[in-house]
Amino acid sequence: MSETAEEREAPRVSDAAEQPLRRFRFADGHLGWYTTKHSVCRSIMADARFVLQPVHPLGGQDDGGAEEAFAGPESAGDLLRIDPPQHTRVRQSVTRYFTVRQMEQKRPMFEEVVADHLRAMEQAGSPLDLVETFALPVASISLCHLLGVPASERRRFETPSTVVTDPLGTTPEEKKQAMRDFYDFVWGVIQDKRARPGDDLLSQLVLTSDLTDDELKGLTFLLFIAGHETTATMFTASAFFLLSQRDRWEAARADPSSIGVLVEELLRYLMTANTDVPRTALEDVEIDGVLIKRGEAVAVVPGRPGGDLAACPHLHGFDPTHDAGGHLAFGQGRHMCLGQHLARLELQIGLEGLMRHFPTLHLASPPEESAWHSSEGLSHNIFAHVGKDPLLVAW
Amino acid sequence: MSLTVRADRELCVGAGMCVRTAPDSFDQDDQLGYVVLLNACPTGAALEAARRAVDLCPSGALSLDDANVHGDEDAKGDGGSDE
Repeated sequence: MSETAEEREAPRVSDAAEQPLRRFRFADGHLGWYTTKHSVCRSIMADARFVLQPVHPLGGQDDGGAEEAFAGPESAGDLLRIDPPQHTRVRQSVTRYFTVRQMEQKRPMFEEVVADHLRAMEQAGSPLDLVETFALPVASISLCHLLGVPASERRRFETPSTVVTDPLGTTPEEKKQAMRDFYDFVWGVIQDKRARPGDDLLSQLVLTSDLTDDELKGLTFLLFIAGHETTATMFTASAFFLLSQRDRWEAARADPSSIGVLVEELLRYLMTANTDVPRTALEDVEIDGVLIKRGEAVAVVPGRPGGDLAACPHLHGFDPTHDAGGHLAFGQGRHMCLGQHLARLELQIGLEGLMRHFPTLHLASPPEESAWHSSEGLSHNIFAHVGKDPLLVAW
Repeated sequence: MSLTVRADRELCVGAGMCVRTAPDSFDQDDQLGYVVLLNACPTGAALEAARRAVDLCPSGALSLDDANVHGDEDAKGDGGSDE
């Protein structure tokens, strides 16, 4: 395909000052659209006339075989790969376990996990890798307790997650093998819950849902992978970002009661989770004066700091007192992050604990030397990975 | 004139943004995790919080109507379903 997508004229049905939707050719040749404008991304994600299937891969972004590795029969239960009515049925089987109230009731459990790892940091001594000693175990063990899996099992989902979420660092064959390992683990957990149900989320899900085995496997896989890697990344990026400029850390530390507002602003500004899943129109839809025809896909790529500032006026500077409501860090619409209240709670408790117990915490080396540093001088390197990039801190 | 909050459980996805934003007006049920309206006619600060929750709802399940115009409880499908 020799033509470049950007050169094509958008079929406007009315005049608009900007061009929020640009023509874009996907890797499979499909001619669709591309948007980074916050309000357009938000309304498309929230619009029931847009669906995920068929998936048109984004051009120029070799995923290193990830899509193929994810596309097994278990994807019938993977909420990020299905549409209504299947999506509605699968999501309805778990939504009630992730309500605001359910998560708030589990607060003491998450506080204990954080306290354990603050102690572990003290015992390990300065300097240390914040990822391995705090961010990853806090996220993974909180999830283990919630789902009802021994904390000692965490490597069995952390290791394959690291392989499949590292697009270019692992081969397609390694990703396929990692998914086989992942599903071996998941299927073992499901069978264990059937045989010996306990008082935990997975036991309730396995015993009460009418999902098929493949759906159950795909959904359980998603709970594990989306429930730890994302939060561990957000912990690490947040710590790097706050510590890379001392005044940010001190300002946050001076006002612990505003931890909720701070975490929302960090979520908005850092946008660590990959929510760039294209959507396809089920019918003709007009958005911002542009007609998106039935069957056309839109690459929905919410701007990150350093993105297209003109198209993303919401990307103003970091302001820990700013009300970040409406950010897209958890997505929007029917696919909005199921575990968002879990993630918030962990981030609030974890960051507040770090600031209280280690007031003198600092990066062990200049920020520019960290894998989490962005060469463009922005918030952080979005390609840094909790599976392989440490964050050395000292106090 | 008073304002009435409406919550459409057919559109709700159980994200819980409303419970976070306006806990005096909204809750989630134990069966599905979907929205339950606690107070359809909030006033003062609770009304402002409910207004914010309507704006932030990820699925367009919430709306705020002028009660004098949409007084009929059976008049479903008006408002809130279109982003």
